[in-house]
Amino acid sequence: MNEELRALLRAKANEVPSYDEVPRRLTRRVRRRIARNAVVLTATVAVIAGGAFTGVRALTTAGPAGIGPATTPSASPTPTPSATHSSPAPTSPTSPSPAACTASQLRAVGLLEGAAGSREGAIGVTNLSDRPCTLEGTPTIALFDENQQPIDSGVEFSSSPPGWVVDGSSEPRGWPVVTLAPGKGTASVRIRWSNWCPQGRPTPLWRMVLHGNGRLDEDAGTLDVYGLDAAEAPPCNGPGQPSTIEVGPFEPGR
Amino acid sequence: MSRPGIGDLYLQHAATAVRLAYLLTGDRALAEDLVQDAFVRLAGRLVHLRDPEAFDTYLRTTVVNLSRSHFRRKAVERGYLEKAKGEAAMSHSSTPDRSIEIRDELWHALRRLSHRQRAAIVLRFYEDLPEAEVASILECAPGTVKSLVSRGLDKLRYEIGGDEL
Repeated sequence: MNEELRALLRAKANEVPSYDEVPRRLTRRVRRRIARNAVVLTATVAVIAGGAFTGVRALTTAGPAGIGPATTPSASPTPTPSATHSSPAPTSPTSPSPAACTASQLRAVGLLEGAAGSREGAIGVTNLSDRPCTLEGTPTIALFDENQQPIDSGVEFSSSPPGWVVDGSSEPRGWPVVTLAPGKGTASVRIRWSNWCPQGRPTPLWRMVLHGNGRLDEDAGTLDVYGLDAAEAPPCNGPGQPSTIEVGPFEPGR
Repeated sequence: MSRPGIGDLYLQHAATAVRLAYLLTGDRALAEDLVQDAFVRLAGRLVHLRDPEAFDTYLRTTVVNLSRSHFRRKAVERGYLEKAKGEAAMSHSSTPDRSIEIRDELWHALRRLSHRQRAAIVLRFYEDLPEAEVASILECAPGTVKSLVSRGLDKLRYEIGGDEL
């Protein structure tokens, strides 16, 4: 049986010829994809800021109280060592530093790509205001379902190292404080997302809760994260097991 | 030395990838579409690939995932299986040579397996990958690969008649 099967598979595979030219359609699609990736964390922010996602914006009206720690999607009602997604920053900036960014100054766009069994990427945050501001520490991430209800079970958060550590790059100047220049300054937060079950469950809406320079500052507010609700969710590798999301600290835009 | 462009990579790897996709889907046109999708997807990540030398590994995994997504998302597998059954019935009635007939039946029976069983068998018997690597691609435990292959083979034997092979 096994040898017949091998022979069949080889014979069928040999029906496919070699390729000696690149299809034009592929070339065009590749150009578009590369261009899209290049702009998605920058120009897309401005486009989306125009209000294309009014449905998601409705979440904002719920205010920070609607997505505070009690409604964040941690599977446990009490903090656990692994649920460090809201860990404060270790230090505060000195007085000459710009003020902490508030949600009204920022727009956030996420981009995740497939990795082996998970999705990795970042949430890019852009300062669209006319004054500089700073971000520091690890934001809280909250998920909402298609009915805009908080997903408060079945998801476990943990901390991720910053992307510059993962990539083996040198520590960015000024880190852990990230200063965002007015109009264009960006920061990013590394995300690694795994095990979204059951399969077919809609990809959730993502929101980011800001902590003013390491303190839970309600004025800092909450931020809709665009783009991730349209991303492909990670595969269901462990049915019955919670989805896991690793969240890194703010770092200079990558 | 500069990294190869996506065009170079396509000429180098496309045929291998289409062959795999064809074995996974049983449809040449669909296989070519899936492989193009895979190249488009990987093109956006070329600079991020930790090991560009392992492009064929990334491509193989992407092809398997895209073929799985195709069947899942489009919900075509049922109709596809019906089509395969019909073709099997036609080939059965029109092929005089029993060995060719068995091969055709085996091919159509392969297409009637679940995607995971088919992928496990193709990756083990065509790509000759070890169980651990198949498990990595299918995102499951090595023991699950063994089970998928075993049950897939049992089903193939049943479909074409256990006494034939």
